[in-house]
Amino acid sequence: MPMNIAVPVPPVASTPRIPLPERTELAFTGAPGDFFGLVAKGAALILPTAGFYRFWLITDIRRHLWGKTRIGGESLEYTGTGRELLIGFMIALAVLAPIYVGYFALSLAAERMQAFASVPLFLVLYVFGQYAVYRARRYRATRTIFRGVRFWMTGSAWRYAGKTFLWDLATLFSLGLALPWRMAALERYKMQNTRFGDLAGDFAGTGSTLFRRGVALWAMTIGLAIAAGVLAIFVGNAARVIVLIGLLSAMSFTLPIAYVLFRGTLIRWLIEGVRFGAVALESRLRRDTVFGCYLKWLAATTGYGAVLAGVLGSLFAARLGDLNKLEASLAADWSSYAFEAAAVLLLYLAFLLGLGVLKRYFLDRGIWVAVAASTTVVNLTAADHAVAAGEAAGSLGEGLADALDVGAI
Amino acid sequence: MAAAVFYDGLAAKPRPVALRFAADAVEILEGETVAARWAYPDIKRLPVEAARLRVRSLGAPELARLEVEDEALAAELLRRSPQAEAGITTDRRTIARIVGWSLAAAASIVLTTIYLLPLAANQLAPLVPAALERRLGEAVDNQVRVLFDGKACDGGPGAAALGKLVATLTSRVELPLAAEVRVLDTAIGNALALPGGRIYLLDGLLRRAESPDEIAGILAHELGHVARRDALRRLIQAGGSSFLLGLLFGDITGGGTLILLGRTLVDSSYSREAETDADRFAADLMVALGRSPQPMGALLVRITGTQRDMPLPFLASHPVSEARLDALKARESPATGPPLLTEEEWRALKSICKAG
Repeated sequence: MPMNIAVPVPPVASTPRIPLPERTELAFTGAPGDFFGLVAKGAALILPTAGFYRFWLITDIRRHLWGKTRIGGESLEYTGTGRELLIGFMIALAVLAPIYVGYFALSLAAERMQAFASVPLFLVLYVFGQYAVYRARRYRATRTIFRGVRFWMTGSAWRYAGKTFLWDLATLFSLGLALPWRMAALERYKMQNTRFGDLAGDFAGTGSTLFRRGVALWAMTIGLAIAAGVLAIFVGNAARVIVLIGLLSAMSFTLPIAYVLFRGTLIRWLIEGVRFGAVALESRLRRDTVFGCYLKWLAATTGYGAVLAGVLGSLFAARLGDLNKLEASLAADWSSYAFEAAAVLLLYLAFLLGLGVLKRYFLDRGIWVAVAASTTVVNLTAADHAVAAGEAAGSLGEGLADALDVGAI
Repeated sequence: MAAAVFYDGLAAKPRPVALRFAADAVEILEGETVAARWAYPDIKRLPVEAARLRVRSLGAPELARLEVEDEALAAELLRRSPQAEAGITTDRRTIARIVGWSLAAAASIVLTTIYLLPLAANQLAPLVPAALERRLGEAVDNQVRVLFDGKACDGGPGAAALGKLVATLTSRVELPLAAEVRVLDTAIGNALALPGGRIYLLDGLLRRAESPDEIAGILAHELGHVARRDALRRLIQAGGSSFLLGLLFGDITGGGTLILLGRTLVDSSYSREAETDADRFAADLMVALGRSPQPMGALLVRITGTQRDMPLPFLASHPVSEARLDALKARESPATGPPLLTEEEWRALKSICKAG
């Protein structure tokens, strides 16, 4: 039968065995209550330590998140200490103080310097901030241990800062369209300079992938603004106001939503691109999971704010009849309201510290857990061959990042 | 199934091992060979998942790890290692040390802000060119106008009377910058001197004033601030203190409030000294013009009320009026010179904001 000959069936014995890649799930095993207790205790200690406890709080948080994240049988380990972060902060002060004072003296020196002296300071601090981001990442990498071998980083933080600056210019002038390629280039630089022992890291994500996944979000924010702007040029004065009001009200909705959705897209894309030799990561992270984290955070923050506002309201309602009287009596003799003033101050501090706790719990931990639950490691056995290399890096980057407000968990 | 997994800190490959408890050390056995021998006192537990025991040894390579899954074995290892649990997390003693040192550091920075910054500001202020100070003044000026939401009252006979009063006052003093006085239409009773020599007299003060000498005293006081370049010094000091306190508190949530509170305390203590000096300047000027400095004190009391029993005098940006009043009383002198304004001029000045 000729038909049968046309479809040759190879003998079973000679079937090439294609080994399925070995797949290992990531898992997070930390109890929510443990983390909440940790950050609540930290917030309570921030006040009596004039903020210095933040270094130990950050360390405790990382130790918790790293230590409870399992890859197969083993968990990660964070070996950094609060003391190291404190030292990094001190050195950062020593580095930044002359810059601030120098700028101050410069602006006082001559009037005509003023006009352009403020621009370089902003730029210097911005570039410094990116330098700090890279150095801080290096600190965190070298304090991350897996199977008795540390991660570490090569590369130059100044080069990274320079690249960021140029890519940010491109992003600015392209109205955000260059952002995916910026993210890809910077992440590639970071990952290609990251090592696990002697196993070289790489980043496989591409700008065009991120662009395809994010272009709709760009359209509903910046694209919308451009369209409205163009429309406003061609309509009359009366309609122009309506167009602009419509744009502003639309943007106030779309902007936060687009930001959160993009964050979900971005995190997934960043995870999917991670490579260490033959080891690769896969992610099933959904945008609505990240969106859910933000919704929970928003609900908790609103509820918390409402409770504190209620406390404040009842406090004042008991004391004061109407607002006019308050204004008059405050002008005449505000001192009798010292109790209320102190209460307002304390409530305000409690509010801010509480906001920090909620943010860390719902966003930092929430997203971490979501990422861990949706990530798969492919070919983990390839990491068996890694040989220890690299040394623990200094914590100056963390200190600078802290002083310049560009820190991360 | 091995009882434990050993990572030697040199390679990432997991090594299934068995444990043997010797008298002084745990022996990590790979088949029959001893891969490592860790003395019990060197063994430290690591704070990872509570379900598994992960330890390291002070005597082994820094990153060598032993993971024990078997519960009985883990318990036995912990029982034999006396130091295993020490320093595992941030404990009470560490926290107490952090709190102590933090308070010391905070005290040091606050003392620097209170005592060293004014010194630095005093040294720096004379170095600032007048042209630059005027530019700074313009920036502050815009903020003040927004803050008080006030139109400047000018023109009419009131402005002429004000011009005469200012000219009389400035004829007796030498100022580093030309002073320029304006009245703002607001019910608030206050006067302020900005960097660059501009003085704002708020109409609330005029409305409650009863004689030209009261207003003259207030203006002389503000001229004192201009003469000392107090506003500039305050600007330098505020910049310095926000830098120092900002760095101290870093980016913690709630830091903004602490900085604000700290700044308020520091700035008010600074301005109390400046106010006393400006009072002295005003008293000297009034006496030189043959007028008494005391009416100014009377006006201050009328505006702010007596503040003797105020619970937080440290927070007041103006010194306690009774104390200032006492100081002004001590300088009391009979009015020997001619009145600074005629009755008609005084009425015009009082209604300067109604005319326009």
